[in-house]
Amino acid sequence: MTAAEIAGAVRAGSTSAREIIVSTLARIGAAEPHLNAFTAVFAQRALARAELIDAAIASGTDLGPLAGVPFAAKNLFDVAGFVTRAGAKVTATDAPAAADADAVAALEQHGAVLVGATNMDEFAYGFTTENAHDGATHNPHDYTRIAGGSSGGSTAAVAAGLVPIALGTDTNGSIRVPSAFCGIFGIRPTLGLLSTRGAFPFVHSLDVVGPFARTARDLSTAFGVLRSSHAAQRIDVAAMRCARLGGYFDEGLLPEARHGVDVVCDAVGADSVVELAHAKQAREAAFLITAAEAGELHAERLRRFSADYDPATCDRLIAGALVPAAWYLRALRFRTYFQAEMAAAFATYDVLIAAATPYAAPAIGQRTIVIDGQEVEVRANVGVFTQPITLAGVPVVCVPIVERGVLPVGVQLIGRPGSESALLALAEALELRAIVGAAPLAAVA
Amino acid sequence: MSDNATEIAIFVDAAAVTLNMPLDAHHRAGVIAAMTRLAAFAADVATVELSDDVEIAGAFVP
Repeated sequence: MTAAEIAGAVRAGSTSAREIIVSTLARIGAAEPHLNAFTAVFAQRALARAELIDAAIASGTDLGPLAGVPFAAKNLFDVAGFVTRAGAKVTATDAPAAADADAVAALEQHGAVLVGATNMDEFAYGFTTENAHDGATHNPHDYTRIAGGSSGGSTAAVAAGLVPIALGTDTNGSIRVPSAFCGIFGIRPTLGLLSTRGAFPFVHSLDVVGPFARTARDLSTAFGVLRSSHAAQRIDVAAMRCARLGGYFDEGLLPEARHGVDVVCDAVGADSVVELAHAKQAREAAFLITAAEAGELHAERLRRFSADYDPATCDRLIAGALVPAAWYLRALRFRTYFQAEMAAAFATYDVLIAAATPYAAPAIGQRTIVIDGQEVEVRANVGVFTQPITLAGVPVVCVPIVERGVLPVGVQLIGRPGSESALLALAEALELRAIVGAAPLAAVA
Repeated sequence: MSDNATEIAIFVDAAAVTLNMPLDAHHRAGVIAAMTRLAAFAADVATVELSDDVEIAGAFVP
């Protein structure tokens, strides 16, 4: 069931929140041996919360658009009474969180029920969710494939139908990459738009929180709740001026990723091509900012506990802690320059379209992939199309292209700062036309 | 900084000592590889000419 269907049924009294949560917990229990999407299930908390919701509805209280809707949150969000692990071992002995993260609290204030915390790359520093401590999360479309990362547990849980919505974070692509690999909708909101309080930080200058859903409508509802804004807006999707990102964004991608972009561009009549002259440097600047800020954040822990870090993150964090200030500051100044370059494109167009990843989900453990005859590292190249957009801080809705017998891919709908409503409206319009959309659950492994 | 592998290794060794960062045998090669990539990226970003009035960007405020 979608979040809208669940909330409708719970509010109408045709089912109870408790029944929804009991069946959700049963589905999670049955699926986890195959998926490994969750690192913790909060059964007691969820059932207690569901009973409160049922009591509120019985007394005539309208809890809002997510009444009784189960959701999951990446395990870097604070959950009161539980340790916030952020995919790490070194955090395991930290004090439990005193309060829920703002994003968790916002969803629950509108009737949603948190059922568990999900797997991720350690400290969100990765695109694969092959976690050295918690194991790899498996892609529901093919258990031998990665779910993407770093919010891979959340996207696998949504794609498998365990929960209709989930929370993640995106620094360099950690919402968009796993959305694409798992074939669901995700939104990276404008930098600074949503509260990140209670979300374990990775890169303060780039981090955002955002939701995932199997339908564009559910995504829009979850985003509206997080944004605390439900004002209906009339958006003329047909009048949107859309263009395809070319140049850098048209190189180094496999046919399935190019096909996804073709499908969306054809549907919206995006005949024009826009080139961002410094997209390559934008990715590099995002890389530098990430390394320097994450390295600084972890320097003290690394001095004492480096042996407890995931080998995949430890060396990069140490290198980041040694980055010269001049590199970091130059990257930050370049960000201003690149924002102006993107703003120039948005003077003519409302939406820019690009692939979310260069390829569909690689196999778990796969180290390299061949693109244009060259063998490249899987981990290092997954984010080539998301990282430049990160630097600009603009919003992106990632829409899924799912075709029978083929692994899903994702397409980025990129807008100017604050244009989330327009991007979500476009995603809904494309879903209504069956251009984009998650796979039916019966077709998921 | 040069992208010469030897010079980057010298920098990493010296910076790690100065900043008291762990750099044992298990980590050294990986850290140098990561720093080599960062050096190449920094060099490329530096090729973009920025005028003096280009300041550090602020976040969008709704």
